[in-house]
Amino acid sequence: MQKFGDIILNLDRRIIYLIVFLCVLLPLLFPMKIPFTETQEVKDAFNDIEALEPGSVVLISCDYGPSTIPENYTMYQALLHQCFRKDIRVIAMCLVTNGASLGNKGLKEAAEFENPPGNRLYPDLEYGTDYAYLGYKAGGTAVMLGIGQSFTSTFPEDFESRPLADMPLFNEIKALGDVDYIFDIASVGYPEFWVSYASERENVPLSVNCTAVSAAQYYPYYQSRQFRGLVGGMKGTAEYEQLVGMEEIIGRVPDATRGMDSQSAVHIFIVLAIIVANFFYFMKLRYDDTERRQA
Amino acid sequence: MSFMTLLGIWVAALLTFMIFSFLYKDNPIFKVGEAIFLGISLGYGWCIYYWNNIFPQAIKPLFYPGDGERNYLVIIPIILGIFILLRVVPKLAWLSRYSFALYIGGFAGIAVPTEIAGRFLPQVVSTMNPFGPTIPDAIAQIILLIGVFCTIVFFFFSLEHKGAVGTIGRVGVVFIMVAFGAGFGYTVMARVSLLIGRFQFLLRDWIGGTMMGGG
Repeated sequence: MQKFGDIILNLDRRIIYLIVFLCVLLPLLFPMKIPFTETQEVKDAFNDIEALEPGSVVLISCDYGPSTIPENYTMYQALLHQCFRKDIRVIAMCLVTNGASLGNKGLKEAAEFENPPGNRLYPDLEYGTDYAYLGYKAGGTAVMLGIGQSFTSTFPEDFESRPLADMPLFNEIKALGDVDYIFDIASVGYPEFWVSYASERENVPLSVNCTAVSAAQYYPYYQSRQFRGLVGGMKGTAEYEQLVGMEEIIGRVPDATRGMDSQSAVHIFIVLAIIVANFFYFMKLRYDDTERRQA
Repeated sequence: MSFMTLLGIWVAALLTFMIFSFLYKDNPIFKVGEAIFLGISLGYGWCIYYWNNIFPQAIKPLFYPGDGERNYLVIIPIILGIFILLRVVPKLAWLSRYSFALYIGGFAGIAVPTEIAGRFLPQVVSTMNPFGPTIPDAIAQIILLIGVFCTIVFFFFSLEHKGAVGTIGRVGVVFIMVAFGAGFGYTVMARVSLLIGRFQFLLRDWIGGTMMGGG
């Protein structure tokens, strides 16, 4: 027992990495489809968007980079499909340098999505009328204040250098106050600023999708209803995908949902590892203490 | 699948393995992968920054106005920006103070009332909500109040943490530990998510897309 405990307590970290690798890999190869239920904070965000009238405008800020694609990009896709399916117009933008192209790619991917191949899901969508991607602008809070005054003066051109003033969408939507809903998809600390510099100032409801790392710190904003909904990490995104019905829309199990089996497997392993390691640690302390007394 | 897409997927897969090699031990292949990542991130960031900010808002209005008139007003922020860069020239570094003074003064003027009205006060109000409407809500509200009070007492250093103050402070520590635990749990979840994302890329795009001809 004591020898086994020593082995456990001095286990090479690479063995732990290998087990984590297997916990991730095997459920992806052999899906178990462990069921999960939607939490209230995710349902709130979903229901708010569902309640918008056709023709409403949602501003999506893509404040994330490539490193958090599994948590944020999948959510971006689910949200865009939800909006386009309901004829909700979308203005997307980005406050993070290395996320600029991802925002553009995601918007095009959803707007031009074909299922089955050759059959566009949203054939009537028109760029500049139904959706637009403004691209990246430096300044964070200054940009939020800027679009509070005017979209066209803050973003004279969109991501592909087309003048915003020529787009029908911006003849009607002049500033942030004309937008019906803000959705911040973030891997950085911008959601807190969207609250004070945009949502509260312009009285526009806000929901947030953040990485799991930040989720705990954002619950006070959900509790105060400054965030109408909170979609935290891959788990939140998987719930959102389930609510939107992404499997039906894209014709395969969406990424976050598919990743939940691996997520559960790793969590079970980590919990077991913590229990086992602590058990042997305390056993060792007790053993050492007994030995010291005997000596 | 176009040749460039195929090449992109193979390069991405190779770089993923180069970075994963660190898990075995630190090695030159990992260092090369790390350096490529840093270089590309910086280069990409610069291009995006230039074409989304500097060109449309500083250079275009001055030199390529199209059908409109040249906007000479942009010269003022350009000069103020150059002043900030002059910090690297010791003799002219003092000029940056004007830019910073304007920036800090303006931003503080906007930030102070905005933060108080937009974040601080709503958070205080939501902490002091009336109990209810249901019993579980009321219990949650009471726990929240106790947690806020005890944590504030723990961070109150004008009184020695002995007796009642010490006891309340220790309860505050328990609440802080619970918050740390929640944060740690979420962090584990986030990191595992990123690993899942890489595996999904390797299985679907790399193996499925380039070797098996499917998705």
